[in-house]
Amino acid sequence: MIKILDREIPNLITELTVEQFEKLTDFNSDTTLDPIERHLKIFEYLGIPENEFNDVDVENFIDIIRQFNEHPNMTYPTVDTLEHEGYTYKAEMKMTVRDSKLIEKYSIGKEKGYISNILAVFFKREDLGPVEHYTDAHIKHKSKFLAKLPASICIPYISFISEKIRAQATPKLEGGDTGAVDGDSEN
Amino acid sequence: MTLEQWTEIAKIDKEQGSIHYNSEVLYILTDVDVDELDIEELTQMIDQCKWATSEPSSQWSREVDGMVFKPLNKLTLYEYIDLNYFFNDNYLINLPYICAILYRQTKENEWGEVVWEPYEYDCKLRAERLMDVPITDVYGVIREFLKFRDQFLTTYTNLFEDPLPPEPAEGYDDEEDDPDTEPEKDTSKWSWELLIYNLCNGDLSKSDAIGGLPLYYVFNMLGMKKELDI
Repeated sequence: MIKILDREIPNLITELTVEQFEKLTDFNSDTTLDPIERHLKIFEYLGIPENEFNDVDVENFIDIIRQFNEHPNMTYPTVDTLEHEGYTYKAEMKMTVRDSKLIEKYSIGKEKGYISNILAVFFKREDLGPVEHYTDAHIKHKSKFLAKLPASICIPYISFISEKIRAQATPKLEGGDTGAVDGDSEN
Repeated sequence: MTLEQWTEIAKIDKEQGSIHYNSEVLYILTDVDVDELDIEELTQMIDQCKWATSEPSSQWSREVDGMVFKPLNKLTLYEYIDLNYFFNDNYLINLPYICAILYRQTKENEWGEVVWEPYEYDCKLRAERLMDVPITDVYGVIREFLKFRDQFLTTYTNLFEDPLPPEPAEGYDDEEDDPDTEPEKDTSKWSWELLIYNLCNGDLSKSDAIGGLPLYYVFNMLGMKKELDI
């Protein structure tokens, strides 16, 4: 936790929830925001209203940003078993094509809760079969409680996905000379 | 790869990502449900099928399934209009329909001349008949038609140009301010229908006869009409 303007807010992966981590990731990848705006939004989201920074001069604000982003080198152990409402959920560092398609869909859509949705694909309830694992309602149910867990749980899984997805080439037609591969014609 | 497989691959929504795309390609090519495979197995299989997502050669066959490629300079007005529609819509997905128009049955008449099957058959049924043709036999017709259309549009460029808007009356900055100038109607949506309507002088019972005329003949006549202002 870090104290900013007498308020304590989380800044480490171990302190943020999956939901907060996702929101911060979204702010950080929003190219329409400059660094000052981005951090005002992040601080506001974590509980410090923007107007409380009205009297902070720029140099001090930059120093606050630096402290907020200062993270010690940490390793995040893989959590592969979770208990929730009397059920056991187990995850494996393994992706079937069906898992990957769902994960890809969530990553591209970037709808609210996409990181917890992705985690929900990995964590499968032991007493259920493959059909139930992938139903929308069940994924949403899992996603809801996973969103409240520490963000450190999702890091090993995100690293695993990035590594696997990188191996998949973007579909592209190669070679040829018609210059016609997109299929749409202007005239 | 058949024309059908090629068309199915062209229909896959690439926006859904590469894993979705790759698994759909494999399903189309092998009929195997790959959902339960490990992602790495999918990658290996896709590596073996890379050829499937490459653009086929621009070569094409003059004859497929007992039908002959109709020379483009012999196209009729209706054939050209339909081809133009399929190309503008999406020529990869519509390739079976394009082939259904371009590949025709022929016969010899009593004078030993080649007679082309009239454009009166069901295009959908003909397209289905061509689905098993190898894509490498027909893919090149896309380029062939695009080249032909470019030449055609260049030749008759003055017929495709929009006429200049009427001059606004004196004292008005533009025609919108001029109360006597009627606003121009957007006819682009109906351009081919309008052309046929004008060629039949509004008598639609003649439209099939007009549509069956050779494309070049129709446009030569239109060019003459425009030049002589008749």
